[in-house]
Amino acid sequence: MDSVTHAPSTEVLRAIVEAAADGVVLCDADGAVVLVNAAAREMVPGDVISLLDRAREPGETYETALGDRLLRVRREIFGIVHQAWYLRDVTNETARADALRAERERTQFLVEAGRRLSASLNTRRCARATAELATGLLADAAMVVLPPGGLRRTAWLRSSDAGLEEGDIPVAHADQVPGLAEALAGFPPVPSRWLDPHQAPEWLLPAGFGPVGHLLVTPLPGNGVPAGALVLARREGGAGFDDETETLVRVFAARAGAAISAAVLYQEQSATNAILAGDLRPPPLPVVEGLELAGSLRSAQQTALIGGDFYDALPTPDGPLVTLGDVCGKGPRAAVLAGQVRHSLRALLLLERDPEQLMHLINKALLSSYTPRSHVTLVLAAIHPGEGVIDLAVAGHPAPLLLRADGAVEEVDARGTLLGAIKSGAISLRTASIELAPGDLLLLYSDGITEAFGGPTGREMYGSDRLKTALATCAGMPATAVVERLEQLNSDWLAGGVFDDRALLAIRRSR
Amino acid sequence: METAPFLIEIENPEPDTTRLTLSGDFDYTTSADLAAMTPTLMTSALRVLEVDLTGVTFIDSSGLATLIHLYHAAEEHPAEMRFVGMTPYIAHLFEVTALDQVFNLPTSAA
Repeated sequence: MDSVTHAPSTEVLRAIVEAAADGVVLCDADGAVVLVNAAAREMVPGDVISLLDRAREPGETYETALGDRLLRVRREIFGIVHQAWYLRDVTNETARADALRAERERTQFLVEAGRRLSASLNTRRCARATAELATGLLADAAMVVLPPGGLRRTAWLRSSDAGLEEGDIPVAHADQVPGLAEALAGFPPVPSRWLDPHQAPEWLLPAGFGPVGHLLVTPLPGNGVPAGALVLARREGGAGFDDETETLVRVFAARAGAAISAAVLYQEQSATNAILAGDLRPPPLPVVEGLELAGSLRSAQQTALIGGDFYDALPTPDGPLVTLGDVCGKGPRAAVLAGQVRHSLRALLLLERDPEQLMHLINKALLSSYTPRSHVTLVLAAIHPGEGVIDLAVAGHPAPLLLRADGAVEEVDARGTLLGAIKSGAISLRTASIELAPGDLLLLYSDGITEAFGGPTGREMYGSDRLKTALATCAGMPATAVVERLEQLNSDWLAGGVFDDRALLAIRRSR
Repeated sequence: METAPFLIEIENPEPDTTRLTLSGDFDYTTSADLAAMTPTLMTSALRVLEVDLTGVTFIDSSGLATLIHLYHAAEEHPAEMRFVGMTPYIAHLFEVTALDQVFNLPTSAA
């Protein structure tokens, strides 16, 4: 064998190259192919030279397709004068990486969907988030059709590159979109390939969308009832909905449906609560010659804690009957009970105006109520405006306070049993009749005022002594100002803490 | 506002006597515990039900309603329900609601 001076012998090169696991194509300095190893021959049965991109610099890597295979090619300097092209089949590797990327994209999408969908308890915002999320990764246009609110029309929201649009359609028009009526009824989705996109009606898509290539209609499953449907459209010429996407859409639709139906339920409940709480809202107080009436009712902040404080001023031919009460418990039941008491009083007042008799009647009515624990505390004040005389009956409620024009504060000596509480029906009442001189003021309040927790420690009750002291500083002030001041002092005591209902009502004889 | 936890302790000092010792805030959120327990307290041996409210820091109308319910349950059983301890705050509350004329209250606190 000759000695080697410039380059290894062909035999040595062949031995090295054949041993390599990668495909190797070796060229000499002029670019002529010197060697093609077995791995390269197997990878590229045909013309290997066409795969070699001579424009590449040594050290550079590129990928090139060969039929349904994908090859990664790297150009290197080999020895002193030769050039080597290393070939590797990366078809499977790339497919795995693509699958992983797609999986990550889907996971990311669902995470984002979860985040956005849980951010609202508003039906429209949830539907909007659903449509907007679905545009992009899932479709060119996404429409959420909400469950029909009434019998005739149903609302929709649509997101596409035309932006967000919304509107409504007659319920019967759902039949025009293949699969939509079934999806709205909660039937499982059918594969996209079964739906003829050319049947899509014009109203389904934004103006200028162009021909639809693929349609996918998926029900939005709610809590036991369908929460609407999601219609996805892709343009003609684009990729269809593959199995992975259809699965992803179903998972997404399940989340969106849960969010929308929770929002629908929440809004129905809030609406119910608002109606009930509306019945508790104090009515405007009447204007009475020679008297000033002023009231304040602060409800507990939480909707679920609709409280039971209420007040009313009911006109009678002899003068107004003022009432302030507190029903036991919280929430809708308390609101209903308070409404019952107010309406009972209004009706009873047509027959009876004496506070003591009214208390007995209401007590009997409450005891015969179907609702268990219909307990109520009540103050009734029958005002005779001419003489400034007020007949008072108090049942289970803090006694009203009397502020004299000179600043003296007295507790009215009236008390009585909580109404609706004692099964025998017997209640004991000690009524009072007081006379207001010009400048005197009678204050009715609920225990939410005196039982307000706050102060320096945050655990101290406001108490009736603080209320009396505060009231004593209000001599000479108009009734509205007195109520505002007492409410302000009490709020300061609470210092933003949680509070129960608080009611105040002042009756002042102005002259 | 931080609330004191509501606790119910049950003892049987005598075979026919059950003593309930309540403590903490007895309100809308906690009164359901005692309400749920009421039927189970009415055992066939029960003749006297003692209720100690010394440790109760706050009662709202729901708490009062639950006590009234307990009182009615005892009356129907029949068993005698007595309050054996309470703070001036609760004594005042019973006075305002005139429940002092219904319930058996300890003479010292009333």
